Amino acid sequence: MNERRKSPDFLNGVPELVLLQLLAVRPMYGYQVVQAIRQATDEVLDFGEGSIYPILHRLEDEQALTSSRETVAGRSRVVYRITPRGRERLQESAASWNRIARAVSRLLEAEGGAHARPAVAG
Amino acid sequence: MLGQQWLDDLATELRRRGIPEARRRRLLAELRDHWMDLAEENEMSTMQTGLSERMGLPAHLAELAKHEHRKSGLIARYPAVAFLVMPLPTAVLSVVLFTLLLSGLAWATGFLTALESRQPDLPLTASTQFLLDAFCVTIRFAPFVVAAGLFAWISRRASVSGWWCLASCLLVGVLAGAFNCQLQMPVDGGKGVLSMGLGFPWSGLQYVQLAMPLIVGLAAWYLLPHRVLARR
Repeated sequence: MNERRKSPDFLNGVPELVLLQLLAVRPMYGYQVVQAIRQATDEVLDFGEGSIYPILHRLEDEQALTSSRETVAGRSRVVYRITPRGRERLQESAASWNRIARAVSRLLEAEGGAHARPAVAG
Repeated sequence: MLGQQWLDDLATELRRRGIPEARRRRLLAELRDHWMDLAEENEMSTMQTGLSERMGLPAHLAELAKHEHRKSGLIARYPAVAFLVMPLPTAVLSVVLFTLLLSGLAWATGFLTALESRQPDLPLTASTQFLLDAFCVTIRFAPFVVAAGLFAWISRRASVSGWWCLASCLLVGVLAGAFNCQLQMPVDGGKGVLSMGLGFPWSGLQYVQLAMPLIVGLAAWYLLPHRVLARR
């Protein structure tokens, strides 16, 4: 119900949704996450690579992720793992996203859709 | 080294925005790792502008770090305190506030004055009795329902698990179930007594008192939008 009122903000949660989804598949460190986003989205999602770290840190604060310093390929890196709470959040987040995506699709596919002439009063 | 210059610029921007030192160090360490990975794979331009383009401008990144740091509020970091410790004091405070509010209303509308100045040997009118009974019933339910709704709202705002909401509503519900309120009218010119307290064993009404905050809290949790896709 209130989803409608919130709709102008809905894109703000997309990086979080993407990060949770990727980390639900396997634990990764930051650089791997960025590469995985590029591969998975055919580079459609384009953003400053550094910007994922503040989001990862917040998700960890919120206990959606855990992190640990591990040696990977001879170098020490911070590896992120999703938690049960993170999985629960991913589920809710994905459901919300699907609802919004369906709503937008319906709008675009509506009769007349993008080709409709603007209705002018009078 | 140009990469180091970018990191130094970022450190300055983060400091300027008041990001705590521990978080600042961690972000810089991970970005240094990231930068080394880029360098190893020869993907990075050696130009400072190339690095900023790839990683983000230091000022923009620092602003995002500040924004994200603010978003991860205390509730999400300490849910046990918020949802296991706070419900009881909140429910008690809610009862106090409701009592003050209803008493204030009774005073403001002249109801209290009329009650005090009535002939003590005359029975209460039906409407007066109804209002007094309504007060006792309201105080048994409303403060707890409001407290449960508040915790449902907080749990949605903080995007924590629904189990925390359930736990807090259950705590509020147990307190509500044990809550008793009785109003004794003055007899023979004496003073009336309003007594509130916790009591066991429970009567039938008290089980309803337990259930109401639970039902309302969980319904509110279900109906309120979660913020995962709506964060700023």
